[in-house]
Amino acid sequence: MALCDDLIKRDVVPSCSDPVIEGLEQEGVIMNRADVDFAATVFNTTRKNVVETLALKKGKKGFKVVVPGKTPFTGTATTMAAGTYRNTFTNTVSIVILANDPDVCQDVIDGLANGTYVLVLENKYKGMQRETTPGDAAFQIYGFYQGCTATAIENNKYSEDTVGGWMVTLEEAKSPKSAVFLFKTSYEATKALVGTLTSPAL
Amino acid sequence: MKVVDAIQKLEELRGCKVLSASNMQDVEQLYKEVLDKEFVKTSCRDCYNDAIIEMMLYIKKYEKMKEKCNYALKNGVLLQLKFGSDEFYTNANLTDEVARKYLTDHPDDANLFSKIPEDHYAPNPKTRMAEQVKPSEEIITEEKQ
Repeated sequence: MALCDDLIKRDVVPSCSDPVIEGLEQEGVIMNRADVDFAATVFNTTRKNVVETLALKKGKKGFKVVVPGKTPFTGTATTMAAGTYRNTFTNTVSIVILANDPDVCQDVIDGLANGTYVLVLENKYKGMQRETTPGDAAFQIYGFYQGCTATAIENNKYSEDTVGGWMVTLEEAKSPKSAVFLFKTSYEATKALVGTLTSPAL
Repeated sequence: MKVVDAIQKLEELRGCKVLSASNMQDVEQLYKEVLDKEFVKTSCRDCYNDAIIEMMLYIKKYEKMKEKCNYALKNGVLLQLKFGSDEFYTNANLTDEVARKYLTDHPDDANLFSKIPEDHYAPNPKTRMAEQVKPSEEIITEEKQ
């Protein structure tokens, strides 16, 4: 059994040429965790927080999740959770669903309430100016290790934010890594890969 | 269906101010013919017009309809024949030739495919025959001596 080297391995300095910026893009992907083909998932050989292939099982597809507005997915965050022997990370993803009808409630809300999910969200900060692997900071996976489950679902009829729609909070507790990125050689290729997640399954 | 017929039909449909139920059925059938994938209805009422534009753009770009492919990738899989290449393949542009080449070079990656035709693993009779006819190196060496 190898020992984990809990060491930092580079200078802790901000990037002046490619400064980090806050926020997420409006469009993401949500998948039933049971549909992810972990056997076909490929990690980068040297960077173990980078997934190169996030395959779904035969006949399965993911679903787009679009949150409009200037600050989509507000409330999405990662925080450290102290443990007895090892600290872990808790990922929180907030989704606003600007709809409320029988189909949405049956096909989306009821599922979200009890299912376990994996999400891919696109950061506004993509790291496109990085010398090596530009674009590798764009797509982040939530729920890869433990799956995201709902911790709060609310339909406030007089909410000015959700205008009568739904606010869903999903959480992944005890993730061993601070982040898992999805990146396949370039931003363009990764964007195409993410697009295939929601294509009709063949 | 020939590409010329598809273009003609698409232009007819594009000219319709309002698509009738039969027009919509035509769009769904054409979508399968031209792009080799199933049309997915959405809640957006423009999805049929979007499909017409998508088909026209595909034909304009490639000057043909999408080749029917006997292989299919799992969703979330993107193939690159060479590492870091700008050329990559998804189900949208995968061809039999590309899939065969990739699987020949990476036989362990068969789990990335959701569909592989049965004859992919069948031994090629021509190759097998060639192997039988080809004299071994030992025989050639003996003849030279």
